[in-house]
Amino acid sequence: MRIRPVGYIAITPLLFSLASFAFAVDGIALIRQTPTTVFPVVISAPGSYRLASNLRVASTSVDAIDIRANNVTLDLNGFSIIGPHSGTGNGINAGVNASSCYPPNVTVTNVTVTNGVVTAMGGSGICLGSYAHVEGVRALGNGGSGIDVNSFARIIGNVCNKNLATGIACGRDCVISGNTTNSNFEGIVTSDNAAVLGNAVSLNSDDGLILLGTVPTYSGFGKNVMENNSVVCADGGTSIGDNVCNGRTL
Amino acid sequence: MTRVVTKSVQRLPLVATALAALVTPALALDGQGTIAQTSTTVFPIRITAAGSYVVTTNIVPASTTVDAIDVNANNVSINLNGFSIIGRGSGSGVGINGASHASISVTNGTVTSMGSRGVLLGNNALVKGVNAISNGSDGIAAGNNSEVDNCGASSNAGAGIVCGNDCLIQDNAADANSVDGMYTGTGGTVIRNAASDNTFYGIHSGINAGLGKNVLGNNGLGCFDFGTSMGDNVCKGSRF
Repeated sequence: MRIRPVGYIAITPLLFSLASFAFAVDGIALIRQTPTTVFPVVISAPGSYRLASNLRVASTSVDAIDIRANNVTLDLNGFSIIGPHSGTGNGINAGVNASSCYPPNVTVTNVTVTNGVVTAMGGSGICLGSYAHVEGVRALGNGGSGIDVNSFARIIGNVCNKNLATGIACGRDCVISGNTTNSNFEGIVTSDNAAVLGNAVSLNSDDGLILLGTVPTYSGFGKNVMENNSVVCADGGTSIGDNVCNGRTL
Repeated sequence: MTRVVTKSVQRLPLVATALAALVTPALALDGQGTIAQTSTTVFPIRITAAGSYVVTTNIVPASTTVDAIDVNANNVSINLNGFSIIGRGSGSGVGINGASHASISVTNGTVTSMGSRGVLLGNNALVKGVNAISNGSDGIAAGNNSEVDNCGASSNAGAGIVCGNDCLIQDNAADANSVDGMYTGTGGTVIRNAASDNTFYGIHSGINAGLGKNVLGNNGLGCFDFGTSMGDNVCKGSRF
């Protein structure tokens, strides 16, 4: 299913598009799974998009939604993307269909994803390039990372639990604030100049926080609560105070 | 001819409204004015009356020398509704220009690749949830007593975020801009922001501005200039 963007379209294809796909009264293109939907759903033009149903992906080898344009906003609208529990497909992917998520290779930028669930995908839940904004998403039980994005991103208020790789992975210059990342491999991994503030990071099977990059990384973390991660609470970066590591102030 | 968008009195059936919202200015069901680009749109789109407006398409200015949206009234709210204002990468156009008016809010979308500033507003402005990326001057600029909240301002040829005196600048990321990451006047509050890889300062503030819980990495002239730390900032790995 291909979604035609809103606006700057000649009248005839616009009407055809309206007949084929639904649009909200506020102009946002609606993505709704039907019996004829073929995955991945492809967003190929900038615009504002909103889920109008859950998306259930049966195949293990396709993404649910591929984003192939810059400047896209996708409101999950409280709905869920539900995968087959195995395979290589990603939930929302700005890279190559069903590829292993590697954001440094993703050329699509400035994608915003908000307000819904991505679960049980064989690959990563959300895989985006630079300038991403992910807020209010629950990425749960995916085979790769929960949320994996490139640099200059803002990752705010998400829940990323029980993913087989990293709960939240981000490149450099990221803001990672108010998230919960429990029971993943690593809780949060980021690179230089990150601000990691007010997250709950527990029960991960490796480190809670990993602040990578050049040494020193110039990243700071504060007001995080890190409990019962298998290796260390935080590896790298500078505490700006009020962190709690296994009951001790860090 | 300049297109003027105002909250005209139109009452359309549901289906007709859905169509009209894509091609003509109309009222949304909740009474908001709608802003949509069509094949006949002339730039800049002008807002001439106070009210609440929602963008229903991407906005792509027709030339490099015009603004996308000019706001010529006080007390205007623009919800970009997830859509983008996409410039042509050069020239003198501003994305949303309300420099001469007060109490304008811009929320929830992107302004990118404009030749000049991305968003330029007067006093008592609110900019929230906006990405301002790769514009030819400042990403977001607002007057005194304004609030800039939860925005991303990166790779702009000016500063990432500029605000006048007594502003609240919080929860933003301003990286890789060609001047400062954030620049504010006296008396402002700058908290929980990240600013790195900017050519000048991470945060450049006037006297009596307070800075707290900001993470400032590698910036060309230093982490900050002036202002008073309220604590829990980190500058290139050191707390201050």
